[in-house]
Amino acid sequence: MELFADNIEYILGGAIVVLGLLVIGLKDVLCFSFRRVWAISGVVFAESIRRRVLWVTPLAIIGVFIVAQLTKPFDEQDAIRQTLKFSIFATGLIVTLTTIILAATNLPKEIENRVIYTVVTKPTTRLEIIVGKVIGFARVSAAILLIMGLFTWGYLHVRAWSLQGSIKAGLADAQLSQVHRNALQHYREAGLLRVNTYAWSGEPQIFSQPPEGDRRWIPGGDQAKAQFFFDYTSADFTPPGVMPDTPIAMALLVDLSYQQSRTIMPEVDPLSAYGIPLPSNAAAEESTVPSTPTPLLPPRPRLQINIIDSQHNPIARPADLGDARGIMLPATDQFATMMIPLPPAIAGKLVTAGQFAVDVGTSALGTQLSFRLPQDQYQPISLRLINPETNQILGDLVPRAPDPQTLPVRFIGEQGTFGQQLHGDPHNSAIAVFAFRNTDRAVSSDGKINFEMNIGIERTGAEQNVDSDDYTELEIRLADPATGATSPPNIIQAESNRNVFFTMPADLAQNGNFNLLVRNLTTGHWVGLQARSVQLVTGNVLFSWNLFKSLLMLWLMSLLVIIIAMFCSTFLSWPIAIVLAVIILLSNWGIQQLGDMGNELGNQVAQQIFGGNQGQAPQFRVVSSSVNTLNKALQALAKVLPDISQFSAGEQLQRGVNMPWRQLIDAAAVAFGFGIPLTVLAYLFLRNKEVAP
Amino acid sequence: MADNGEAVRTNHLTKVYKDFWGRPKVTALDDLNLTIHRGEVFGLLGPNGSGKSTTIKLLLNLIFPTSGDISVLGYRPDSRLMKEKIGFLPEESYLHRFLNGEETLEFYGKMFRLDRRTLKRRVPELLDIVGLDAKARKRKLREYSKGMARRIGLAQALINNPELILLDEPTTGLDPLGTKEMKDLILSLKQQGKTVLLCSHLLADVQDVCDRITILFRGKMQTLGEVRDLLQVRDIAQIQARGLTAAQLEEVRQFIAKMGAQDATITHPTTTLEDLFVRVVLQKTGENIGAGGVGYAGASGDNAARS
Ligand SMILES: Nc1ncnc2c1ncn2[C@@H]1O[C@H](COP(=O)(O)OP(=O)(O)O)[C@@H](O)[C@H]1O
Ligand SMILES: [Mg+2]
Repeated sequence: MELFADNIEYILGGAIVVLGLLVIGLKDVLCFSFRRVWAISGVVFAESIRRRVLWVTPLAIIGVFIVAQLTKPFDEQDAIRQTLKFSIFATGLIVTLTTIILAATNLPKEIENRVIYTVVTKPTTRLEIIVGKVIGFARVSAAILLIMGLFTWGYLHVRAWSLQGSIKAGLADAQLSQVHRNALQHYREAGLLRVNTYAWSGEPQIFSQPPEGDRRWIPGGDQAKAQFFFDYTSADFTPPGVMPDTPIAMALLVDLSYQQSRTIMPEVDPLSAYGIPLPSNAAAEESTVPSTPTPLLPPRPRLQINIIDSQHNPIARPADLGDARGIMLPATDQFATMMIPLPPAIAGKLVTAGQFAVDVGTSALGTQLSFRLPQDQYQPISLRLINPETNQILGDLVPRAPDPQTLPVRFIGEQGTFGQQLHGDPHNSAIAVFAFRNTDRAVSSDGKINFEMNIGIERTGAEQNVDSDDYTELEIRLADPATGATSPPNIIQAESNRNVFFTMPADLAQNGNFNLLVRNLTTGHWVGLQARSVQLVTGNVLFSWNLFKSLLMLWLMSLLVIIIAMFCSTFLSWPIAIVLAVIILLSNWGIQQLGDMGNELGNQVAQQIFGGNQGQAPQFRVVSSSVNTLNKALQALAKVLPDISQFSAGEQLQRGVNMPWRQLIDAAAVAFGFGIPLTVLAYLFLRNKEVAP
Repeated sequence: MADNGEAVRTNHLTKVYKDFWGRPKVTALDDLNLTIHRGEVFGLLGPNGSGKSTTIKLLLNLIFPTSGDISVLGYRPDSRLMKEKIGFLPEESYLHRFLNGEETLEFYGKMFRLDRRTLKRRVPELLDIVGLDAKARKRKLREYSKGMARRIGLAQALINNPELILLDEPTTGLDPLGTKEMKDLILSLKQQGKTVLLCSHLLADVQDVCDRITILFRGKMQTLGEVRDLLQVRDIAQIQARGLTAAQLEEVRQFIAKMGAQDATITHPTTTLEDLFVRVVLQKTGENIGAGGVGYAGASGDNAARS
């Protein structure tokens, strides 16, 4: 059953093809003549060309010229890539629009003005007519793509050549910053039309020192937090064997240790001044009661805990958990478990949400929190369910990620304008870790691997004048996660939104698994980091070849567009056929927008209707489950609709990335997977249609 | 296929046009039983809207019958083999407007999988037969006049040297000269042993070329028979002669009256306007009239006189 539901589109498509061609239309298949098909396609092609359809290309070209003037690229390479991206976008747009209109109007018009009479009374079949017309329009779109491709190729070569002139002029300018000069030199050597293949890390994570084994440290001062995922449903909050109506109280168990840095408290080791650590299985009531710090010592750091739902809306803030300043950490430098009772209102919200995340961090400057990664026997954090009347422990919910292969925790920095912020400090900067896994590497002749980096940098107001140097200094190291071996640091200079090219020794990245550790050494500069801020160069391909693949991709898309439009036109008048074709093309994308919310959608709608906190009410469940069922039905519908997002090439082009074959194959799978059954359907419809107006 | 000498047979053929909701709108054809023999020129006559085109569309599977059976050259209408052997000229020749004359014929030739060599020979030949000159061949069909479109339409109907030719109003849009050429062509097709089904509301067309006709009215068959039989007025005889003086004519009249004939009259025959037109045009172009020894047609217009 599962297998059936998962492959519904292939089963349906296969059934249509088999039934349509081998059962109903076998006679037409047996006498199928490609010569006739080609002749039919030739008429379609000649007619389109003679109606001057190709005049759409100058329009697109003018559009590209205008937009190329209006864009604000951050450097020469970006100028090229943006132009290329827009050129491909414009090409895709005109190809889609032209073919959709041509293909949707052709058949209705031929029936309307009876041209079809003389064709269907010849010994051709309606199968040949449909296939011939599809091929004819595919030839038209190929002609448009060819013209646009030649234009794009030529225009970009001219542009690259003229930009090399401005690069030369730029390099001659003594005022030029070193970072900019480096980038320009790279462009002069590598050329602007280079297309690379890249590998990327996942989202960077922010730590206070490099990870070691299963130990992780995060900085205080609100620079980072540990985020634990709880991917559960409301039902999971009633453990097995517990009566459904049993009242349930909850508490968070948090197990961590912390260190306060010596630069803040140089003389005294403060931890010894406080009481003994609590046994990890006992309630830590005491620790939640704020105690007055001894005036002679720096205050004991506090832990800030936030709980958010899957839409990043807050469920609980520190104030909801007892104290707006946070929870006092225990007086020990050992790992200790704190138990934080949750108020009933918060507990109710967690049951309703089912999916939520617990953020743990501290705002205390100079403090770092230490976690051990969750394992089977050890959990740094868990949600304890308790019967408030008997104080009996009903069960523990431990962090759980939606994908069991991934850790249910990540260590993230504060979100700034350009991504996770990495605050600058020459001595105690936090570390951003980009984890590269299973990557190919293009090792240069001198045993180095190449990286490209582009980051946004924020300045804090106070430092703006102090630091007259424009650039930000970053320290980069490469670490082997298996052995912990770390390369010597590479100090590089970066500017906001400017490409930086650097190399690292390849020896620690032998098996394609390595961590890139980044520190920010410039005080007052806050670097923003994202998943694709740093990319590893794994190879390069010819510009023309990549352009060709992009155009091929667009051609596959146009093929699907043509077939959908033809299909609609076999049973609808042309204006409605155009509209329906557009709807079919866009609906998968639209439904996907809904689908991303998962079961959350039902809960949200129900919450809107009944207000929050009614997770157990029967009406609530009816509404939420019926919305979820409807959503599932739409998802199923989306499976039998083509996914045109497979055809987007712009993203890669803008990054100058080689289009992988895999992507072309996926696009072809969509184009033919939907195109062939739809062609057969169109044939069956036309076969049973009276072709008289 | 059993060849029983029938080119077309319909059995209780009925066509009801339905509206969008499937409700009957027009009964265009009502219980038509028709048999057309091989080798004859058959005329389907009737006023506008009587169901002639509907009949042809049904024969060609362009529309599907509400009830009844059809056999064309022994095949069902959806048969591809049948289409190999027929030619069809629709009511109005709408062809691909952006192709020129030659391309049009090549395209239709390719539908019959004619090879390049055959096409090279056959296309100019056909263009000659239907009378399209070299200049017209290279022009796009959208620039054609109605008569030229008719001619190219006829040429595409003949591209496969068909056994059965269905012509729906073949002479609409043609000038009298073209009409005459069309009629001559139909007769020559007949001579080649082909079957022609001709639809028309122009009685003169039918009269001149058809062996048998049927008259349709409001979708029902009204009469069926040989043109000669249907039109001949058997109790009136007509004598034609040239070069007699008025006195001699009077003598002949009295002689006939003596023989006991009633209402004996002598008049001078008028030619039809069509014949006059053809004669004038052809004389101007210096060609011979070629058909019809006397050069005018009498009131009875017996087609035996032409052939
Ligand atoms: N597609 C159609 N829908 C509805 N009625 C039609 C359609 N085509 C023809 N008719 C009707 O059927 C009748 C016969 O039409 P037709 O066969 O075209 O006549 P004609 O003898 O002039 O060729 C007419 O009354 C006409 O209005
Ligand atoms: Mg008609």
